[in-house]
Amino acid sequence: MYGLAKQARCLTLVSAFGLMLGGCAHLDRATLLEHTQRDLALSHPASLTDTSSDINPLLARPLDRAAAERLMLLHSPALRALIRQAEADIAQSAASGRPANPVLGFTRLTGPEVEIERALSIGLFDLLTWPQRQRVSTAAQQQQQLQLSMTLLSELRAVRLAWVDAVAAQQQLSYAEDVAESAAIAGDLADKMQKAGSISALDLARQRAFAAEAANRLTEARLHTQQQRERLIRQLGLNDEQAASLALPEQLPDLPATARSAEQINQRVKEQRLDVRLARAALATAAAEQSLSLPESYTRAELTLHAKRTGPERSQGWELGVALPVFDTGELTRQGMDARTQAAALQLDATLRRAGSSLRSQYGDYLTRFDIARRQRSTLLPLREQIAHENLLRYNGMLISVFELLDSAREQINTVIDTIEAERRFWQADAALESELLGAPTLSTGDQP
Amino acid sequence: MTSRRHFLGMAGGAIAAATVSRPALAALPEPVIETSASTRPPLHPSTGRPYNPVVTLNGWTLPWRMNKGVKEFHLVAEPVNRELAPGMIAHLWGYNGQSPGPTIEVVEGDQVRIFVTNRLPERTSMHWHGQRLPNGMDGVSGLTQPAIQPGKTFVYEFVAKRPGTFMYHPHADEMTQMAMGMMGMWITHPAKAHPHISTVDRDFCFLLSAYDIEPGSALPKPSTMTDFNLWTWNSRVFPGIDTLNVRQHDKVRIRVGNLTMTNHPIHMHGHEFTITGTDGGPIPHSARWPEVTTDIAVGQMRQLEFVADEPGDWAIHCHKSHHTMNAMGHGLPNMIGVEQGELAERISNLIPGYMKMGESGMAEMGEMKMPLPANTLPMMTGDGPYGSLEMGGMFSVIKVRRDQKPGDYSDPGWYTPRKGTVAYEYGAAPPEAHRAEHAAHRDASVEVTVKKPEAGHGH
Ligand SMILES: [Cu+2]
Repeated sequence: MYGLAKQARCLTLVSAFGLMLGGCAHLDRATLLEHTQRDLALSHPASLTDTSSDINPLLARPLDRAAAERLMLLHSPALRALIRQAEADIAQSAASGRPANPVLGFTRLTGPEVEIERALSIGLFDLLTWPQRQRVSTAAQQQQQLQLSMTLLSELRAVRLAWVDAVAAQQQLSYAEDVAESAAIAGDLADKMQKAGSISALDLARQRAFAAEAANRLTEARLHTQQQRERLIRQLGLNDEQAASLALPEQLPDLPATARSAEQINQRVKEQRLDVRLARAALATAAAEQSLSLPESYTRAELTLHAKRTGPERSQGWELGVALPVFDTGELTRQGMDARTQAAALQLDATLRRAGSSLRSQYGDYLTRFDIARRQRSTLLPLREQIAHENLLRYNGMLISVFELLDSAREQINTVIDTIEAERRFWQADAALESELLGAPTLSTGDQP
Repeated sequence: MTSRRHFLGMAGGAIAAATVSRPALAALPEPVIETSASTRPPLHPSTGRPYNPVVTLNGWTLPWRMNKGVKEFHLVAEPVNRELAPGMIAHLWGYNGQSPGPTIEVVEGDQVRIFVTNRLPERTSMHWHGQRLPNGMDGVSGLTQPAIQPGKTFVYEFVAKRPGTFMYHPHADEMTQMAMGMMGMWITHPAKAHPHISTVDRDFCFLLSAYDIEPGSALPKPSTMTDFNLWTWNSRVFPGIDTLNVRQHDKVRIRVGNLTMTNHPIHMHGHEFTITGTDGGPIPHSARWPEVTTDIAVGQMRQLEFVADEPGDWAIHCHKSHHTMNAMGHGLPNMIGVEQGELAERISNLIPGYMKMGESGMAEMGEMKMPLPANTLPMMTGDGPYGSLEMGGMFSVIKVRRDQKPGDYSDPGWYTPRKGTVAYEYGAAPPEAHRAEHAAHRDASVEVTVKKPEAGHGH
């Protein structure tokens, strides 16, 4: 009895010790969300941690970009699943940082005499390498936390792009309707001219064909608008009811007065980039694992305390099991760990090298989109307006026909559509640059649908 | 300057050019520059032999100086801004401030010396269209003389041998320079009574020229061959062309030269006229016949003569109806009978400011007076005493008045007809027209069948 009580005390001690150590090493939910929130540089604090928030006020008025981000972070089941998954992974990592639990063996054999044996086994090596395992666990958890940030950043970028595309498509649609209307008017006018006898069958057919083509393009535009809206709805994770009540702003935000300056961009410290930190964390994990793996492969040792009673006889003692490095000397594992650490180091190097170019590329895209969008709005659009006005004057002077006037109006409307397109691409580049600055490398986002 | 202007007997509006340096032009008559496009009164000769001067429609006669018995003129070829009609300035090339250049008036047998200064950016020359003169004075650059380079002055000298009506224009880069408005009239008055040249009370002259100026711009396009959009008399279009104001029973001569790229049937209302001369000379009486329209071919000169015995405001115009229009679109669809109805509203929604036009014809264009491109004249315009004239281009009015004083060329205003001599509206509804039965059933869809000539019917 005494032995078992002693064992139990020992077990309690071990558990308490384990809990204490484990408590220190486990990245809890609140801390995880706090770190992630900081990594994402979210302008609206408590988005991730605040789950009680009501999203209805967000849906009550046209959803701006910031509101879309907030709505996704608060509400999207897919996004919250990602967070939960990360929690699960982190918990697993934390668990792997602890030694295997002691095993209590109980054997009862009946024969000539009843034989009862109790044994308590503890992995000696686990206990000895406890601090090292803790380091591995901490590094892995940090890596997982950063991975979560990275995933959420990409989700944020996705929701920004989806929002920009949905708003732009909706904004363009009303102009696509005007284009189709101008073609429809020309077609209807041609019909009336046919009644009056002032249009050839050839020209009439041309006008009708043109109107039909325009109607088709409008149908396409309607589909496109719907598809973009649904993409946003999926990204936000809205249910059918919420989707139905989703209203978007009528237009994209105004272009900023000036583009972000190169100084603003260059101030970002490369080391703070998420991808660099993630690569560094991966390296830290690999290094910690490597240091652990060196002795582990051939110094597997287990201590077992035995208490046995055979009939009235009692005996107790201990048993030490040691794995002999005969077949596996640990050489291969060592080599593997070594290579893995080197791979992680190289990966970090590659990430650091890629970061500069990726940022320059994204910034170049951003600047170009800004220039084009600004020229489109402040130069081209007024010129098209002037052309349309001059054409109206020409129509007044019977210098051009009403068909040419309609063509001119259509040209002008198409320039408005092109301008929205240019602004859409600017805001896409802006969203991509934002992610890029935080350290989520992006390829060219220009041709994202 | 004033004294000189006085000496030259010029009316207001003409100024001596102050920009040419005196030493350089010491031997030259000071060029006189005209700044206005209005019709100047006749320039009665104060030196040289006497003659009855002409009136250049929206133009003027160039003053001269007598130099040891020689009549000296100074023409300056230069870029000019010519008002085609109020509301439109054309950037042309001309002479002495205007296009066309000033009329040169001399007397048969005059020894004439003309200084031609080139202030154009390219070379030019001067051809004295229709004149008898030494070959080397004919002004064909490269053929009879070297071209006059920019900044240079050439001297032409010859005797005005034949009385009649002539023109002058460049013969260097001719297509460009004539399309830009470089031309002028030349009148050689008879030295003494001529059996085929009558003395008239009023003698008008003008040149026909045409320009292609893109609406909203000011410079003509010289490469245009047929699609001119401004048909002018002395580089003016209706309503910018002055009226020809005469006294009842005046004998009137109108000299018209054509330097456009097409013919112009000039038609006069209310009177018959005869062609009394061309740039080939006076026509014998036996070869004249009465007309109300005379077709003037390209490069030709015609002298119309008539007695203005019918008082009133009589139209005179080119009978090609497109030539009594200003700039218009070609190839516009005919919208007559195309009822736009709600379509017009739909277009207005798309194009604010849109007005439907042409549903019942084009006349509304003359009345609506809608905003046009800058520096563009309405295709049809002008107001008369009874409403819109709906005219443009080569159109003016001969105003015959009992009380127009001799020598008075001012505009007497609109004609006041005697009571009962103006077309009036019939007071009742017109009776139903009689139509043959088959005509009422006429259908546009009825096909026209053409009977092919059959074999065997040959002749
Ligand atoms: Cu004509």
